[in-house]
Amino acid sequence: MLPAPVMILQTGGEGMVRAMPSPCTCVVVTTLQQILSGAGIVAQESPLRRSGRVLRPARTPAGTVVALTLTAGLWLAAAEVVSALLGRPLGWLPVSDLLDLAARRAWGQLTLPALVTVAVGVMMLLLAAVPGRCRLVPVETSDPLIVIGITRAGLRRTLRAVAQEVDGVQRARVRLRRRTIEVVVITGPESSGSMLKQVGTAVGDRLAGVGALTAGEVVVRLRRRGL
Amino acid sequence: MRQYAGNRIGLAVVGALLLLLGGYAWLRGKDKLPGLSPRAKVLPDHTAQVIADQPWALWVVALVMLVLALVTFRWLLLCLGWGRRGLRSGTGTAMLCIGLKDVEGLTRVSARVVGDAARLRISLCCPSSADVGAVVHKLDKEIVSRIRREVRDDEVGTVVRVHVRR
Repeated sequence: MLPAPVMILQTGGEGMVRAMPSPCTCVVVTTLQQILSGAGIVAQESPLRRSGRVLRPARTPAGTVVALTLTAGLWLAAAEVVSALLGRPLGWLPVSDLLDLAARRAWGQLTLPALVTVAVGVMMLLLAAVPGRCRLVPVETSDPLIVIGITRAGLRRTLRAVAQEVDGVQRARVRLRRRTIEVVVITGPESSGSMLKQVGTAVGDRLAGVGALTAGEVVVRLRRRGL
Repeated sequence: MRQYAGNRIGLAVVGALLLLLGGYAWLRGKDKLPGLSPRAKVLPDHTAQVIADQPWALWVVALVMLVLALVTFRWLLLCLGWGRRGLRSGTGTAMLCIGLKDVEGLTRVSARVVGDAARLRISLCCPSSADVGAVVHKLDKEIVSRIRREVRDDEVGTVVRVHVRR
């Protein structure tokens, strides 16, 4: 969203700066080298893959919910069964009602609950199998045992700070997309097109300096403010 | 070095069980399983009678549920960070601060040793005016290696989290 009280005279001006080589390039080159030179080269894991393995989400919220539900349910059910066996039912869980329900219902009447159970199961399996987007943007390191990640908000802020240092830029906004980094700079009415290049270069230099293993292209958009 | 996989394993096991259970109930309800009638009760009377006649079976059920409850309780504790957050290393934190003394406004600096010095977790927060590239370069080339040697040796895997505040 743009700042509200300001009229935009012109929107446009878009430049693209290739800041980093595509991470896939390294993988392809390694594979080709292996094919061409036979089995002499040991396969090396790309930094992006190595970092991604460490920084990918651990599924903590989903795991916590499922573990809490199962723990509470199993403790209560065990306590209920034991207390019933001892002749003093606790009554915390409606076990008798559930058994009555199971004794009255036929399998043919359980189609909808069965489908819901299947859907929940599939969702959990997907959560377990899909790697998910890293919460930290991986950074290239020289040592395979060191994994450095910068928070997405942190990377946005440092790129925004460097974009705002360019002469004539009043404000900047950065968005990290899957394949690009979009920088929107808001300038005064007398801004030149060369500013796009300056912002792109500054952002690209900072990205290269940080060594972020992120999307390869920086897209800079220029917006001029009226008086 | 790998991310903690316990949650994914737990979710996969529970999800597979639910999938099997739901799939069986659906197939049984749609009469897709030969020899099993969809009009049969979920809990037939004779099964309930057999279980009621043998109370030890319910004790076994209660014992199994108790064991499963303990397993899931351990999972819950691990989810909440038990044994995964590690202990704060004062020496490591001090070395980190000394190594980055040139960076103005550094906050939330911490070095934690996870497990039996199996992994090192470092986190720090810089202001947006800081040269994050230089900070990362220093961490990669000098500081982390020094801290690792101090904690145990150069073979300790290290995860560094860098944040930039407003």
